[in-house]
Amino acid sequence: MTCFPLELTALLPLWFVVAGAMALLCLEMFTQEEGRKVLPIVTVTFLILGLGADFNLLSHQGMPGALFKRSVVIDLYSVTLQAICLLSALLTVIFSSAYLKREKAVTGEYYALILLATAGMIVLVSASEFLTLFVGLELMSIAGYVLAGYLRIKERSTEAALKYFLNGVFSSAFLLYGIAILYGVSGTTHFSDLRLFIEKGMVSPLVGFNPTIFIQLGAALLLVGLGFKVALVPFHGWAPDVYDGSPAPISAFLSTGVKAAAFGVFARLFTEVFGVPGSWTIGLSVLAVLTMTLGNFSALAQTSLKRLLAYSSVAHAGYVAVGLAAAVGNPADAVERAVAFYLLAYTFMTAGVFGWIAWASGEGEIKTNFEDYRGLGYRCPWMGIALSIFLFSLAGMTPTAGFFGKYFLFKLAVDNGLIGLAVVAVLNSFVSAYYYLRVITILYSRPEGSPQTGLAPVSVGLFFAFFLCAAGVLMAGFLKFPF
Amino acid sequence: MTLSLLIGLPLIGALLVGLFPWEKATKALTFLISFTVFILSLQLYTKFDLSDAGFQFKEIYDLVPNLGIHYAVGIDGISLWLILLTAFLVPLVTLAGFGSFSQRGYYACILLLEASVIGTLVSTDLFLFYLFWELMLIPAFFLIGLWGGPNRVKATIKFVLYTMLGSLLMLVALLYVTHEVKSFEYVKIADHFFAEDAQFWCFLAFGLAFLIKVPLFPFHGWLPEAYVEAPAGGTVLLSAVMVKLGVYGLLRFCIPLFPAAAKAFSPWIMILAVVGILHGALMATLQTNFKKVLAYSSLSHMGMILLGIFTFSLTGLQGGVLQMVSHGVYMAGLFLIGGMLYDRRQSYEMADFGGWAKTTPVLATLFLILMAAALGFPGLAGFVGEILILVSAYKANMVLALIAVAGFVLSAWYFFYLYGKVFLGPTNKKQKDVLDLSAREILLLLPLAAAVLWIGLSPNFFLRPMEKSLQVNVIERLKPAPAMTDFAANQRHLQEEIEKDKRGSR
Repeated sequence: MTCFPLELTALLPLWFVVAGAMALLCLEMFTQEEGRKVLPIVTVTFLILGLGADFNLLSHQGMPGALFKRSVVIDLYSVTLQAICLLSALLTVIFSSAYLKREKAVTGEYYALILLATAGMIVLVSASEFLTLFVGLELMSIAGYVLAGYLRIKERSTEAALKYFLNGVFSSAFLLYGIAILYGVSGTTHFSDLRLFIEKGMVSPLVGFNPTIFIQLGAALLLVGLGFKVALVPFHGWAPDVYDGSPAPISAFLSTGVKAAAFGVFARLFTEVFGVPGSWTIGLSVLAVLTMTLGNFSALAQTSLKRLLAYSSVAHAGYVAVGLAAAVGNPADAVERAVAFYLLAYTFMTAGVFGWIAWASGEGEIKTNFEDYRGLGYRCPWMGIALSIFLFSLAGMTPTAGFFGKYFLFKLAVDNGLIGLAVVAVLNSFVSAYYYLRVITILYSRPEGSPQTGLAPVSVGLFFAFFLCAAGVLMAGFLKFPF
Repeated sequence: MTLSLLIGLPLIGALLVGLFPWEKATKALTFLISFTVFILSLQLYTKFDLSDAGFQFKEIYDLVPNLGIHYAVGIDGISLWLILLTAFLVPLVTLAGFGSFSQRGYYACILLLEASVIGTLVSTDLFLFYLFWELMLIPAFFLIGLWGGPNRVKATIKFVLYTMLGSLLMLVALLYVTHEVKSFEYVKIADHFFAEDAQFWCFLAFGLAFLIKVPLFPFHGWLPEAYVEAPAGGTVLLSAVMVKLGVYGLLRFCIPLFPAAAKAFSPWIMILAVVGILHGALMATLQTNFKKVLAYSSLSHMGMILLGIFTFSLTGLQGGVLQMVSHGVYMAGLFLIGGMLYDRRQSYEMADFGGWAKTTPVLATLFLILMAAALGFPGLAGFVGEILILVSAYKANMVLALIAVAGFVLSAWYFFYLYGKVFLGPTNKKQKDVLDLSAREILLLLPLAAAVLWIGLSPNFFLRPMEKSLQVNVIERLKPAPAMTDFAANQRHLQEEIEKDKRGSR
């Protein structure tokens, strides 16, 4: 117990977030309609405390490493991902506060659930042991299912929740089965022990079987389970409907924070633990190509900005998969750095767009078609510029974070000799430019007929959130990355 | 500091103009900034060291420290004139917009475009180059898409997508190149020896990006629409400045970095260039819209420039670069006059004009001067470049040169036809009260006319600074390497020899 203080401080972000969730649940009991204004402020405070704790960890030289009997690991990678998840939650909360007020659905549970999901993410990205991983994943997912169906009187929202739930549970089963097989063959649930087992070819408790096959089988099941969570084709079926049907701020949360956490642990497992066997490169490349291509070509056909984002979110998972496919032969930290940077960039730009939709779609979230935004760039110049910046970044144009993110990922592929994969990836990026730019042109085309009214004013909080996203998109590429 | 100022001033200016609502000061501020940039850019010429073929005015700072990406800039004789051309044209374009545009976004886009074009021209770090190269698309996208003609949306998306396709493939090649060399520095990469097949693919990928920009014949699909739909100022920046960057990219990257591939591809590019000359010229003769005539003539003239460059002779290269500058100047003038005609008649159809030489004599005279320059009239800008190009093309391939001359003849045809339709003939009754050029318009056309004369009368002034750089940075690199300077390649070579011996002895 001598290291207790260290364990306390190293997981400070987690404590803050959990404490925040508890505090919110208590507050919700004691506040009436009027007093609920403080709920988002309290949530934001705890999230900022959590972020502060993360930055504090990043600014110190040494990292605590494995803690709690090696069940979590606090290294640069996990702290960076924690910060990304907290950032995503922070943006979501700010977008939500105006959104919920408009939809007349302010409750304390909502914010508590966001914090609980965030706690799940923090556990997930810091896990260095399979059961911890599973606990984190479930905590994150269960809160996510509820949030997706939060507006339960809306059919779309309920549909989203049900789809998300069924698919999520299904994928958890895969994950658990994979964990069971890995445990069965190696006798350990610790990442580092499993790594040693794979490297050194230790004696398996299973007598008479070739452990390699079982390790690969377990890894494949984990791939399917996590593939569902991050929506890789062919496990993406739920994603468009869920991102489209959920309340817009929750879509932001699910497609940035949840995905970042799942991808974070995905990258850690496949680089640090399994080390991606060479023969897997082809399989992962195929997944990446399918995901990018299907996502982008489906997005081409959309007329609703929210649904377009839902499909483009699938496509972006494909870009990250390019980096994972190129994990062989690249040092683990290079892969993790590229993935983490991309997730950061993606959080800024996608959360920005979903937040923008939450703002612009009007009561009941009915105005999500491109045509609803015709000429909006002239009426609200600042918001027009903000959306343009996010879309340029999603399209991967310089000097935005989206470009740098793609650059790092595709660089992994080229460094690894997968030039064909990189070419397919840039061609996909080319296709995606078409539909993103089309939205910008509509935003700035002259409106026909009478201009619409009813755009909500941008509150200080919202302005801050959009400013943060836009600044992040423009600056992230030039900042010194922690590792 | 000069180069950083040349990028930084318009960049900061774009932010100031774009973000702050000083509606009244917008125009003056933009003009002031772009004019200051021009004055500053003159320093580049006065302080340019003619005896130095390498990069001058060098600056280097860390940009993304984790990756070894630097903010590294410098210029040589190849980029010198293009920078001066850009800095010279932007104030004029700003001035030209005063009549028609008052939105601050328009002026912010022009300044951002200037910053990114100059940034592209001065970057000596490949990553930085790519950053600026792609950044250029954003202001261009808005210039065409927001302030263009009726079909602007289609035109701007087509333009951006064409350009992006090329530059994304270039990104993959750039990743490969920097992976091989483990550096982004241009000088290091240029000294590296790439294997033949790598050169082949890299040349294709880099080349596609640049040739789409120029554009070479089959990749010119974006050009007519973008030129026609863009506002006059946007067309000037496109035709006079941005497309030149394609040629610059070829000169700076494709040819020196991948010399073996460049030599292998040069006959094909020359053939396509000549096809482009003829295609552009023939299409120009068929148009009824005079902006389209100018657009296709620009395409045809760009083919001429490529023809000169891919002869790989000093005269051809010099002619090509000089022609880039002259083409920039006279095309800018012609498109600006096109804009002025449009302002007066709200049409680009030649049938809507006629007899304007009587009502607007000053306009007609200035148009005639610039047109004569475009035709390659001796003593004016177009002549020197075209003669240098044709002479060296004749030495390289007689047939191609002779076909290219046909482009000359055709250009006389369509330009005189255009002049006749618009300025001569009976006056349309509706347009009696058309005003001649205002003082502002004369002020912005006179420098162009003067530049056209200057280039035509003392071409050596322009040719001298580029000579050494072209010789050392392009031609020398094309010569087969004397001994294998590259250790790895040498090793490989030895290994092959040994294996051959072994096989022989068996």
